[in-house]
Amino acid sequence: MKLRVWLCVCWIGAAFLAVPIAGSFAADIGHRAPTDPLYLLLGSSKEGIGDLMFLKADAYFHGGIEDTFPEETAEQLGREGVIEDHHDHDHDAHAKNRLSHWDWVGSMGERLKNVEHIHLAAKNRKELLPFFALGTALDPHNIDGLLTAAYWLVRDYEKYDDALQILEKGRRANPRSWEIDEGIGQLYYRQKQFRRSANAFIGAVHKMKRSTVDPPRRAEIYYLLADSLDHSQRPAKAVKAYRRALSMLQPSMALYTKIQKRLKA
Amino acid sequence: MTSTARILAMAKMVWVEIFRKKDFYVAFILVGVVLVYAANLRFYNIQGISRYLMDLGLALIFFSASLLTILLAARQYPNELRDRTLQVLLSKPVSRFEFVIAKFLGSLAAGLTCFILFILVFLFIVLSRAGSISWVTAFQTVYLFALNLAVLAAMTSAFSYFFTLGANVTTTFILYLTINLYGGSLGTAAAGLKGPAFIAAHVAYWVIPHFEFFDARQRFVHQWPALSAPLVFEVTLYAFLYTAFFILLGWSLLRRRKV
Repeated sequence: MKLRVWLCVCWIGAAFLAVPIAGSFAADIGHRAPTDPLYLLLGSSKEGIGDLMFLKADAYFHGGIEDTFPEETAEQLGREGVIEDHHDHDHDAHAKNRLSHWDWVGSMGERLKNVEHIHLAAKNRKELLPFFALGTALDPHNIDGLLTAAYWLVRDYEKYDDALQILEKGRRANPRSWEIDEGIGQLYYRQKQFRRSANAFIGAVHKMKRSTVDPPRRAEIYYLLADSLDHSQRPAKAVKAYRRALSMLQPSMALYTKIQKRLKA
Repeated sequence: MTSTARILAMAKMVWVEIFRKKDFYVAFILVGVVLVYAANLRFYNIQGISRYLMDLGLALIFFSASLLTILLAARQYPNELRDRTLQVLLSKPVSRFEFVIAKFLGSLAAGLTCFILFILVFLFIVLSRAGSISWVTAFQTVYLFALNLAVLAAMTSAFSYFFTLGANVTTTFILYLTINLYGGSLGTAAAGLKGPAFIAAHVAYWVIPHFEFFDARQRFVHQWPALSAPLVFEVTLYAFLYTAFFILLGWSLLRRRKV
């Protein structure tokens, strides 16, 4: 009986001591102890796991194949089913070249796995969402991951609010990222909320000054800013932005002609 | 009593053992809780998302069934030695080969029973969420994993006549996980090596049992077409040869032991 009492005393005493010890640790760190439950659960591995979730989403998009496919354009990403003709290389040929004729182990492995380069059909793209949800929650610093998650949420499901929530969280985590401001601007632009899109593009333009961005890409953002300003009844500022965009483009480019037409109108 | 009857009687004792220990019940409850929790997750209010659940569920089931099989197969021979029942068994008309076969069959049967019970829970939850699945691919996934358990049970059983219990469980488990993760890419990696590393990597590539051959989860989760019958036959033959090799290895190791 006595032993049990002493056991309880030790246990409760240790539990109570934990509170001041945790407080002292927090004071030593010099700032408020983290309260994010995911951080408390996973610690600094949180972001690594988040990045794995984005990679998993990429694998799901390619039919479960965890491989490195070349970077694809938005148009190529939109293609569904088996992709055979748009790649510079043939994936099957890769697999065959890699294996010598006597390597039956490798050959059997290849026959058991799918090596075709496929894109998930639109009706199945919802299967990517759990990984985007986890990835964005775990690693809000992965800018490409955040933009990709927002892109697919809007493209297939028109979930503008969810996409905006992801990007706003990303903006707080990455205050210097012009890409996220541009993404937010694009979302408002597509919803025809031009005053808001203009504000977001202005943010993107300011942040771009600190980074190296190709002139055509920069011009594209200036064009969207100008268009947003134009639609939100700020013509003088719109003209100024159109002219900035023109200065970054070659006359042979399609956007150059488009902007000139706008300016004339 | 015939040889078959003796083997079956000993195997039955091994099979019963899995339900006497807590390991199976802990794993079963864990699998059930994780699957029910995962099935109730909602993402952006979109209905019918199921592949993540299949992926997670199968990974958990494969892992649990493999672990239970390794733990059961690994402790058979050391426990017989510890409890001094091995001498009693072998003093009866039970040959060492029958002993090895019975221990393997019992471990395999127990592992398969756990696996099938897990799969039934999995199918119940997945069907309530996904609506329909490809039954042919589902059957192939289950069949290939059953072959995986056969090779794994034989390998663990064989190692148990050489290693201590702890060393066997650790070695087998690390080997199993490593082969599953890197077995397929070892050949490609070996090609880039030079000297003794090149030879060692190539020997390992040819000698190890490629457990990744028995993993058809991706095919099932991502709804790829079913495997061809000749390929399934090839994999079955591969599993049979490795199982036979490990049983014979275990028998040869036990024959050298003084009881």
